[in-house]
Amino acid sequence: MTDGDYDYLIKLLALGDSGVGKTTFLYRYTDNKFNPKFITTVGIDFREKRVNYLLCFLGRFRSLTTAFFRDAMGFLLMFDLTSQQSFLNVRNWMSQLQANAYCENPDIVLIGNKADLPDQREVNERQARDLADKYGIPYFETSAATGQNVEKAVETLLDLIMKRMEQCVEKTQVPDTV
Amino acid sequence: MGKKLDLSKLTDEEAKHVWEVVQRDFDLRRKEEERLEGLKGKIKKESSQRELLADSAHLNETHCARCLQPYRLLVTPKRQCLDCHLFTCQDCSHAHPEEQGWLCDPCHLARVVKIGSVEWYHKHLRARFKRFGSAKVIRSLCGRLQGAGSPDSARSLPDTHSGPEPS
Ligand SMILES: Nc1nc2c(ncn2[C@@H]2O[C@H](COP(=O)(O)OP(=O)(O)OP(=O)(O)O)[C@@H](O)[C@H]2O)c(=O)[nH]1
Ligand SMILES: [Mg+2]
Ligand SMILES: [Zn+2]
Ligand SMILES: [Zn+2]
Repeated sequence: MTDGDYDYLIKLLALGDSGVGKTTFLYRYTDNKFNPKFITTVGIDFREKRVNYLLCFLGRFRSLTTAFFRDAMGFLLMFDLTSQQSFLNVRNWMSQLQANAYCENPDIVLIGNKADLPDQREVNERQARDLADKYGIPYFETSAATGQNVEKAVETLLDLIMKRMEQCVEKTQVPDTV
Repeated sequence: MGKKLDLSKLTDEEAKHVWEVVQRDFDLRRKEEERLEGLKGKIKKESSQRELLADSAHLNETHCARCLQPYRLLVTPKRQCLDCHLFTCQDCSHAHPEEQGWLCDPCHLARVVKIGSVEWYHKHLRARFKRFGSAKVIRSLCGRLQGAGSPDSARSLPDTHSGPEPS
C-alpha cells in the first residue's frame, strides 16, 4: 500500500449554496462523468478516490451540515458563476467555516463553478479574485460539465494539506521515531 | 455546541440516508486506523532486526540494514538514511520527499505513520470540540431511528478524545 508513493486518507469537504454544483463537481473528479440532472443532496454524501481521498459534499439542512465541517481537513468553497446570490453567500459560508472547522484557518480553495455558461455569467473574475485574495486563498474557475480546472482545483487543495501535514511532522521530528 | 442537533425537519427517508452515509464514513475511518496499526506492527518487526545489527556495527558496512544482503560493489550502492544514519541498499530506500537524500524503509514507514495519524489535526479538533461531527449527528439520529442501525456502531461512537491516536 505504501509502495511507491505515499498513501494518506485525506478528507475534503465541498460546501456552498444548493445547486452550485458540489455533487456534480466531485462526481466529475472521481468518475470523470457529468450528470445534468439535479438531485439535491440530503445532508451529506461522499465519494472516495483512489482510496486515499475522501470527498464529502454537503446538501440541504444547514444545522446538520455544519456539524460535519470539523471532520474535514480541507475545503472546496464553491459558488455558481451564474448566480450572484451564491457568490454573496460565500462570506457567510466562510464565517461558518471559521467557527466550525477544526481550526480557524484551515486550507480552503475558492471555486467559481459553471464556467461553461458564459452567457449566463453573473460574477466576473475580478470580483471573485479580489475576494479570494482578501482571504488569502487560491481561486479557480471550473466547469463540472466540461471538466475544466476540476482536477487542478482539487490537487491544489491536496497540496496545501500535504504541506501542512509534512510541516507538522518536520517540526516535531525526533530522531528515533521507531 | 454540545447540545443535540434539531433534526426534526428530516423525513424518515432522509434521516436514514444520512445515517447510512455516516456509517460508511465510520467504516472508512476504522479501516484507516487498522492500516496505520498494521504499518506500526511492520515497523516494530523491523526494529528488532536492527537491534541485532547495532550490536555488530561493522556488519552494516558490508550488509544492508534491512534485507541484510551484502552490497556487491557498484551493483547495489549503499545509501545512508537521513533519519537513522544506517546504510541500506537501493531496494530498501526511498527518496526523501523534501530533502536531498534517502530514507531507509523503516524510517520511511515511520514517517508515513507519523504523517498519516494527523496528530496536529486531532489536537486542534480536541481543543475546539468534544466529538467528531459525524458522531454528533449519529447521536442526534439515534432517537429518531430506533432499531435502524446496529447498536454496535452506536456504542463505538468515536469522540475526539479517542481518535486514531497513538496510545
Ligand atoms: N452547465 C453546468 N451545469 C452544472 C455544472 N455543475 C453542476 N451543474 C448542474 O447544476 C445542477 C446542480 O448541481 P449539483 O451538483 O446537484 O448541486 P449541489 O451543489 O450538489 O446541490 P445540493 O446538493 O442541493 O447542495 C445540476 O443540474 C448539475 O447538472 C457546470 O459546471 N456546468
Ligand atoms: Mg449535492
Ligand atoms: Zn536491502
Ligand atoms: Zn533510517
